[in-house]
Amino acid sequence: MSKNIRVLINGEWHQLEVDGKESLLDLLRGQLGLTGTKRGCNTGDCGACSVILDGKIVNSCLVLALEVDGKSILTIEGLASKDDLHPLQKSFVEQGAIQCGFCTSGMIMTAKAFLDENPIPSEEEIKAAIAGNICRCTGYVKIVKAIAAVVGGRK
Amino acid sequence: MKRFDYHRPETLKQAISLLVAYKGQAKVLAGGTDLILAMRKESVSPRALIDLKDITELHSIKEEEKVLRIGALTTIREIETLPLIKERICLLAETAEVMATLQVRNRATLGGNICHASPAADMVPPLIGLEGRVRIAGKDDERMAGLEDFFLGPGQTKLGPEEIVTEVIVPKLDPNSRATYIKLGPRKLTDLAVVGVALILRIDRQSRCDDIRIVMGAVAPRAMRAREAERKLVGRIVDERLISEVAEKAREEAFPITDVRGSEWYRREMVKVLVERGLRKLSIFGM
Amino acid sequence: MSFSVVGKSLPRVDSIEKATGQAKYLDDLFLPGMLHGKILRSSLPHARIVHIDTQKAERLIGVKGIITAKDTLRVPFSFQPWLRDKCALEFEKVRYIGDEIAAVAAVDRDAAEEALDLIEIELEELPAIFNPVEAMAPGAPEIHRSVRSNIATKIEWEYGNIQRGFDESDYILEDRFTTSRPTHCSLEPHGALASVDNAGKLTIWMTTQNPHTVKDDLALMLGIPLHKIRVIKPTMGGAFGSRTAMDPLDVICARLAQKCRKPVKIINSREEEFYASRCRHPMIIDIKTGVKKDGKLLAREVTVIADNGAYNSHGPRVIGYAGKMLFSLYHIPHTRYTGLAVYTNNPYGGGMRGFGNPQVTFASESQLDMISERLGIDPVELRLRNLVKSGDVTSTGAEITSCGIQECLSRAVEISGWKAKSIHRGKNRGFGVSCMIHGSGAKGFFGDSNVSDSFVKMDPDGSVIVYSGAADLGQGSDTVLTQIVAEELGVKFEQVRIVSADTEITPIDYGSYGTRTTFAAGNAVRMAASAVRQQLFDVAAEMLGVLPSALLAKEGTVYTEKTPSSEVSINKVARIACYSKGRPLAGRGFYNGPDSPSPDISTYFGNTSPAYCFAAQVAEVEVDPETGQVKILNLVAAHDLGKAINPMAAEGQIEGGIVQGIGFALMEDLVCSKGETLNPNFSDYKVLKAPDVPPIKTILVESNDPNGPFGAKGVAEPALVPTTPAIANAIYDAIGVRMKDLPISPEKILESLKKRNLAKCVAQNEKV
Repeated sequence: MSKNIRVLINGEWHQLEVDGKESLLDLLRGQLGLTGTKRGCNTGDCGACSVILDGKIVNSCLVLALEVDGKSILTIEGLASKDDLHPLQKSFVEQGAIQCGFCTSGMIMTAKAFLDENPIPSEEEIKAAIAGNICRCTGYVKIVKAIAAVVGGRK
Repeated sequence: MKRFDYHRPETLKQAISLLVAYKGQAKVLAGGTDLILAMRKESVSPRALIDLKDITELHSIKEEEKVLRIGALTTIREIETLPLIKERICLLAETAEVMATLQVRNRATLGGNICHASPAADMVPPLIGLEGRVRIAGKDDERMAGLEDFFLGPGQTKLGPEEIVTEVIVPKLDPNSRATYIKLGPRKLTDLAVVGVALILRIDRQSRCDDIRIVMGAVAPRAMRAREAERKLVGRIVDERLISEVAEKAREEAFPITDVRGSEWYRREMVKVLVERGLRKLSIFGM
Repeated sequence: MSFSVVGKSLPRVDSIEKATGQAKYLDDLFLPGMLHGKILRSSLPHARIVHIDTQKAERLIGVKGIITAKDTLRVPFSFQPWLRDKCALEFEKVRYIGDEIAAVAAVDRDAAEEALDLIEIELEELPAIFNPVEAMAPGAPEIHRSVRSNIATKIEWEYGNIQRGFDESDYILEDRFTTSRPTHCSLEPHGALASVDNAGKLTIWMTTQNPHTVKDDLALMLGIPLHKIRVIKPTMGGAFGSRTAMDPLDVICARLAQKCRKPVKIINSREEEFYASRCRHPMIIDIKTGVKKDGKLLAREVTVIADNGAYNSHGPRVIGYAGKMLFSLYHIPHTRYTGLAVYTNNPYGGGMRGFGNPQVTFASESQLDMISERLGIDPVELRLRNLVKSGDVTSTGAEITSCGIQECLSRAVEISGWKAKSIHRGKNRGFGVSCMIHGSGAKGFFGDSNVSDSFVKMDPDGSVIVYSGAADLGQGSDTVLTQIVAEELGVKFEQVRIVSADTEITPIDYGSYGTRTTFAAGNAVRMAASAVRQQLFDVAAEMLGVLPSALLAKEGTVYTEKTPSSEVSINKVARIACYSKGRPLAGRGFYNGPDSPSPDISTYFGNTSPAYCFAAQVAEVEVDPETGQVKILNLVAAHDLGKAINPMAAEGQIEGGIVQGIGFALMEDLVCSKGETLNPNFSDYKVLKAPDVPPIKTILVESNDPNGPFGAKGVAEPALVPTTPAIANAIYDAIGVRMKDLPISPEKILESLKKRNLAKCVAQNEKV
């Protein structure tokens, strides 16, 4: 079946026709051309597809496009302002937290959603928050450092 | 994934009517973290999905004198973080914290975790230990079911195809009780439990056990109470030696299988270890 | 010597585009009219293909083309020409669960998947074999025609006199170690996007580590001349060795594009990535070492049986390389090696980070600890007594140039606090150490050479473009090469841009494998930059009225060293050179090393690598004796990388490698039963997550290699090699059980503890 939905993506409203089987991930990468969000496994295990849905970080591969009618979504493309990178993006770049980069979008969005709810977490809490995001390149060390640096910057 | 109709009712009554209209060939959609995967694998192919998320009454959480009434669509993340749950039934919040990932917890619901009926489901042993019940709405009536015998086996419950679990009623813990959920997996977080044990213990000032519930997950086709182990403990003074005997009994009661996550032998050994450690941890407060 | 760009922890050149989601990986690329392809794979481990009927599938709406082996040249390929055994689509037999039989291109993925279900295949099941030892036994089913005893490759060599070595030894230890089947788990699955134009020219975007050499394979498989193939590597989401060889998927994609006359994209699902792409070769390692009582190693004899899986890929190379690494870290005068790559009907191994070294170093460094205990010599001291040093030639003919292993070992041990902590050590806690050697690039993967070629040009405004065939897989080679060029030319880092891994534009580089990129491509780009620098100085010298030899360049300015100093900005010189002098600035750099002659074909003796990297790691662990779980408390890693071109990037690679090494040690394994992979997903295949990572301290040791660009060697690939044995040794130190089988799961530890306690009880009872 297909259905018309209205969805707010990175601050802009979109009117779209979606197919029943289409996941939010399919929708973002397909119709909307927002390929910054990645497909790593399509089973909700790797976190590469993480986006912020109504303020909460979710695996977009496990959300049907049909479900987001009327909802608000933030993806990596919506994070930087017109003039500047988001502090998390800056920190990831400066701290060497990006190698192949495939996990980066999901990792940054998860960090952002988490820090919005927990502005001053401990290092343990940061690690627990990104437990749903697999990185095969960095060993997570500089990723945790980059997130902690943003937290430190706020203190 | 096979084609399906999609509905988004606004009331419970509408949702049930839809289930009835599809003659049990439809499935309700809550968080979707299990269902969508199953539909992609085509291990389940409903003719329709009834999305429950717009039904406000399924999200509400009410506190009553003796119980908390938690709407079935409360997410696991809400259970982890809501002050009401953390203060009143801390065991549930602590359990939610070790389940899956942040992304999944933001979508997965209490009702969904229960109805998916994985033998390793994290929320189930604590709920059984707390003697929780579910309220079930059907076409003509409503009924209650105790969680302890709600599960029939892996993926199977007593829920009919035209029924919906609307809320989970959880008795508050006696203030003198201590509770914990211990989960064993190869990694620190995110794993499906190789063994999961919920323990609720109340001891008096003489270290005598007033009440004990030992509920084991992932070591049987459904979560189960180790009743014989419990009987060994209740009414007796809790000490190291007794803890060891009780844990050994629990080990005997479990009947795990060997699968890719662990062997039967190892799971059985771990039942003993987890029960021992749990009881030790809970009884320290009283000793 | 102080540097302006080299040695600085600069952010990577592609990090902003990755941080903003702008970087385009394979699945982010779209071409007009593009079709989606899917591959039909065997569900049986060994079967004869009797019949394939694609008619029903062809009639499905949305299907634009289906191919089977009859649509191909039926030419087998493999990483090495003399080992060709795999066709893109099989026509005679399938030999593992996942083997490619047919492929479909359709308007979308759903239609392609539906079409797969409609293809009718008749397979006649054949007896299958899943154990390499059984596969060699008489009567075992033959997997490849005329390959006797299923032995794909056998390598044997002996240096010195092994019998004499053992006769003269005071102690001989003989042990068997067995390793598992981990897999790469690159976050981006393997894929290709192929497009063929009207003239028959193929443009193919691939997740490849070797765009240039893969072209050869494509030409062979498709029957197209090389100049009509363009291979482009887009931004890549990791590889770890899985993408060094061509994959059948690549040929299938190209063939479908040819047939359908439309672009075709194929991407593995994650499940396919697990069960139908390459993995590490499981090995049975029998290692016998003879030693004098003062700790001097005298003789070592090793037999490695590698489970090749169904096809060759890198198997034969892996056992050869493993053999070299077994005898190159320490002085061992008498050595003997037998390496066997044996076919089975299991998923087949490929190149995976370390290339055989992680498996054999697990065995050799574990046994070395056993030797140290037997002799009563401290394990660090034992190693120091035997390690090679700069200027040595090993028993296999490896020529050691720069060597910082002694410094690595002593610093790692010191920083770990081992000696101090051992005094008040907690129960069930232990320390373990391991050293390693790894070649930085090697001859003999492609013919007898190890080539990287590059161009550098300077535009009239002084900005620079580097053209290198080297592929950045995410390990950061683009950044490192940019730094090298900027430093050599004396321009600012931001003024240099790199174009890499596009066979139409970049000159040949054999590929990013074998820890060769920094060394080989780094040398090549440095030489090219040096050529440009010379041209630049010639013009600047004319402008300043000095000799070119008097000039230096730094941060965008050419200047004379003597006082009074005269200077001119590089962008000014560049403009004059291009437009006034009519001498545009462009240079070529070409590298092929080492200079030493290639190893002898029959004895394998000789130097294969232009330099060797070394490392020492110390692990501190705590074992829970009731659950068998291992907690890593600390990990200290000291790596000799010659020169850290980008320290932050080097650390990042080491950290990532260590985490993979921990996985190899404790939990990663594709569980195969009768050829079926039981855990082809991230839920049941356990890679470490953030909360599992211990505190890691990284030390970079710079031994300044005389032949490396600015003294640099490689560091990234072998970072995981010492981790696994360090952990195994620490576990022994903690609880006294020697784990010889990977992965060291909690269950195995518990079993070993119970056996040992039982044995103790029995022994005590017998005493009584």
